[in-house]
Amino acid sequence: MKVPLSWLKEYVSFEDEKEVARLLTSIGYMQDGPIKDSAGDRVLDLEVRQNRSDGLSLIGVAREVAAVLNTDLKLPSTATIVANIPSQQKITIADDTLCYRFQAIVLNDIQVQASPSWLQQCLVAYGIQPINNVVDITNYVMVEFGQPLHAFDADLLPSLDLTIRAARPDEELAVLSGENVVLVSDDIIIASGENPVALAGVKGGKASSVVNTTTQIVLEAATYNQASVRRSSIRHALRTEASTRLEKFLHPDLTQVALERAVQLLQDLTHAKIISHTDIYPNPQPAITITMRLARLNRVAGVSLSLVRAAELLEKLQVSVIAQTEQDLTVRVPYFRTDLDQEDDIIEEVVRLNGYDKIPEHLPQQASPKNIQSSAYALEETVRDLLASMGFDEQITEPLTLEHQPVLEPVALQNSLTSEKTMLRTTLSQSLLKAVVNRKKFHHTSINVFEVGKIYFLAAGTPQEKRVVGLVSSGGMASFESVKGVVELLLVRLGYAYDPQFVEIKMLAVDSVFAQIDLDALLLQKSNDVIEKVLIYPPQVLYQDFSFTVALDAQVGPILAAIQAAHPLISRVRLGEAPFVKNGRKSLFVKVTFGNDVQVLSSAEVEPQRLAIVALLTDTFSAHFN
Amino acid sequence: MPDSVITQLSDLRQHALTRIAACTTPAELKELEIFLLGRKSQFTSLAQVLPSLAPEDKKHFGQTLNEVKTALTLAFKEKSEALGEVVAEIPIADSTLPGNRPELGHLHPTTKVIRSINHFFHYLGYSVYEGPEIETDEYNFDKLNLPLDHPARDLADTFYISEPERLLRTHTSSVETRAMSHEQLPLRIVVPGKVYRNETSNVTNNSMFYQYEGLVIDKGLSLADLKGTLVAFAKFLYGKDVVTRFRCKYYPQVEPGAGFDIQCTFCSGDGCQVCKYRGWVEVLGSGMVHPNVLRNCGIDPDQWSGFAFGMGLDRLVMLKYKIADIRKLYNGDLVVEDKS
Repeated sequence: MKVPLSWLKEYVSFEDEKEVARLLTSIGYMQDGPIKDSAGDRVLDLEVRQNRSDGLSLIGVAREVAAVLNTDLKLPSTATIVANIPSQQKITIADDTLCYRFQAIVLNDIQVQASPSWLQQCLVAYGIQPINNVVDITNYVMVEFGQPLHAFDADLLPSLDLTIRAARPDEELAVLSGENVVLVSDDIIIASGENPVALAGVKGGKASSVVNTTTQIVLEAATYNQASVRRSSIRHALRTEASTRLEKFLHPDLTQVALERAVQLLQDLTHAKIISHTDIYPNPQPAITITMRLARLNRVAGVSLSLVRAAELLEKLQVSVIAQTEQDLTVRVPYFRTDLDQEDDIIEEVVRLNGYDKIPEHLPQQASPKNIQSSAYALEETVRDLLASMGFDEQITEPLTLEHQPVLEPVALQNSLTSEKTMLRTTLSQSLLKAVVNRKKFHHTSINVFEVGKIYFLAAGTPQEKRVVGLVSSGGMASFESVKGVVELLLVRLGYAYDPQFVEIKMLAVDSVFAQIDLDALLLQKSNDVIEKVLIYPPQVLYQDFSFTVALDAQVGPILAAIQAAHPLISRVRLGEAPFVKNGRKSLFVKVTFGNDVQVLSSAEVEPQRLAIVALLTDTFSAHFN
Repeated sequence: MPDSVITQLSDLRQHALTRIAACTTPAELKELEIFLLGRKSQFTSLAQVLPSLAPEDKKHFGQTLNEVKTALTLAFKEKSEALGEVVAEIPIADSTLPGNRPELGHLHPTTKVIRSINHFFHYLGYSVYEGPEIETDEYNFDKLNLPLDHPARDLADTFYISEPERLLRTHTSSVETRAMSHEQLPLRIVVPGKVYRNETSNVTNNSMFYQYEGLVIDKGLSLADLKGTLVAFAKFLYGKDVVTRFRCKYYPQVEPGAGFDIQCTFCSGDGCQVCKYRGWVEVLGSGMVHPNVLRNCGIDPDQWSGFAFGMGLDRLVMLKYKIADIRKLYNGDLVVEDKS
């Protein structure tokens, strides 16, 4: 909200503009940027939060300033409007969930001309272009009281009978700014006879706007369904001064106040005379009363105020105390404070005016509750540390994507603004590979990256998310075996055994290997608490090498597993070199470690086992020894 | 075992001790040491017999070998000290040679910032708590005092999977409503996590970003507990001299609500480009959990009270690591290296 300060001073006196800005900030209206010069005035920019419809008016801001400075509010002069002056005009609210109140006044003998310079200056300082005295007055009163008003040229309206109703599909309206708006049934319109003449709460129609030749006007003020106004203004990209106010909860009582003020100015500046007044207010809103308990005030706010002090602060905000006991007070909420509807709202009023800076500060004294951190989070953190210690760089990539793995059914987004972000990833491989490709462009040769995150997919039509870790090793020494080794060591260190059910390893490119581990599946397994053997002496070990060939299509895994299982003394079995093809057979060089915690082993002692392994390999795997 | 081997050893020992005693210069002693114990010495060739012996002989011969070696080494050392020889040190290679470093990976800057904040709150008794990213309207909006048609829903620019029921969470507050609805009270949690907004990405906004929220539910909590917690947190993040401001600010899910700022460190409050000429930088939003929210989660607001605070995390990360474009954090371009 732009607040021209000398205009504000019409309603409240103050000296120090910086102090006023500081105080407004502390009570909920944050100063947004420096105070600027504009059209001969100083303009303060305030952030007005969604709940404070009164904050979009200078009177509303002045009320806050008067309360916080403990000074008087000066209200401008207003005309008296006799309730319901009958006329030929017929106003109809077709649906009282769309329009809560509609007030229309017909005035004639209008002399349209340029506004006096004081009025023009006010509007320019605020940021509204002056048009003519009638239009300027509606804008002036809107900024003053926060209630949007609209004036139609009565002679240019097809009919004086107005209906407030939902638009019909394919109705159209040329609005003031010139665009032609194609209406939908979710828009509220003011129809004159059958013709739309205004997009209610957003913008008036061009055909019936007030021009220099206008002599008779219909001046209206209304309250509409806020959500509908907001949707219309967004739908048609018409964010107007009116819509930003009417999309908040303005109290219907405000239309009367604003019209009284506008009529006063119209009489003063255009010599207008009231012909008729029609007020349709189907469900008058009752005043709200709220009881605030002193004990709750002090408990929630952490202060120790008396009821007398609380009442005094509330009265300054025009929240009037109507009843009081020793423990509580009951207040009536003024109509313009549509944000106050329960006890804690009143508590906030007391506390903010008393000053948030007066609230003491301390850490909670209560004992800490039990730790409820999930084991999954701890697992993720350990995975990050282990992979970083193995030379992998962490990536975090956006899960919104276009691509997906054909294996899983992706979760699609209904309303993405971006064509590259239409679904959620089903694998980490694509984004990690992209990271690798990016680095290769910059001549990185050996690249190891990982990401801990989620993948998303549909299972029986229901969106699911799954915690995974993905890694890609590329260039340098990257191979299937090196990546599998990383995965194996990672799992061992996490207390799990390698199981292809929750590990996926695949080549993404000639020199890029991807692995993904399903961490959620892992968490369902029982992990080993003890992941390392502790020996109180260095183990006695003896190495035995086996060099042999097997059939070309023989798999290495089962062979090594069989050797490992051959005798309890065998502590480790590994390949001494990568398998290679020799004379049409696969040549293997296997190093077997015999270990024993207590006694010294000699070759002679393991000779029977060595022979048994040779026999096993020969018999079970048709191995040839040279 | 042929006795001759043991005899040879014994003779060798006698002979050697005599020769050592007779030495007069360090150089002479060094030469003798090579002759007696070096690679081509008689001692070495005798030692090589060891593996060929029967196990029972091996032990005896091995022991004798050791005795002789120990005796001679000691004799050389004593004589060397007597002759005042400067013991030759192991030659040091060029100390300016660069070291060969092992390869270590790096954590993402966002992970590091989350960890350091988790660490701070862990010591205040908070647990890290998580929830789903694919959320329901109930936890993301409804329970948070944001009923259908509440204007804050527009601001949230929600990604819908099936409107209006299923969506990508627009804030980590959805995790708080889950905790309040399902966990035992009292509760003290922090929630770091990814959130999503359906907006076109630019330098300061990305459709995915991180938030960090905290929630405490207990008996007798007040704005003073919230303020004390936030001040301690600001000191942790920005140092003990940080100047803070606690002011009234509306959020639908809290009442009373509070904004929390630090004085701009670039201009000390005078106003500059960094703080958009406000003199203050907004750090987070906070407040006492709204009684409606408590009730929506099955908590009696007359028995329990709570406070909550929340902030965007990415701006902190960007400031700390001097990254100007939020998209660069999450598009796979980011490379972290050790300073050389």
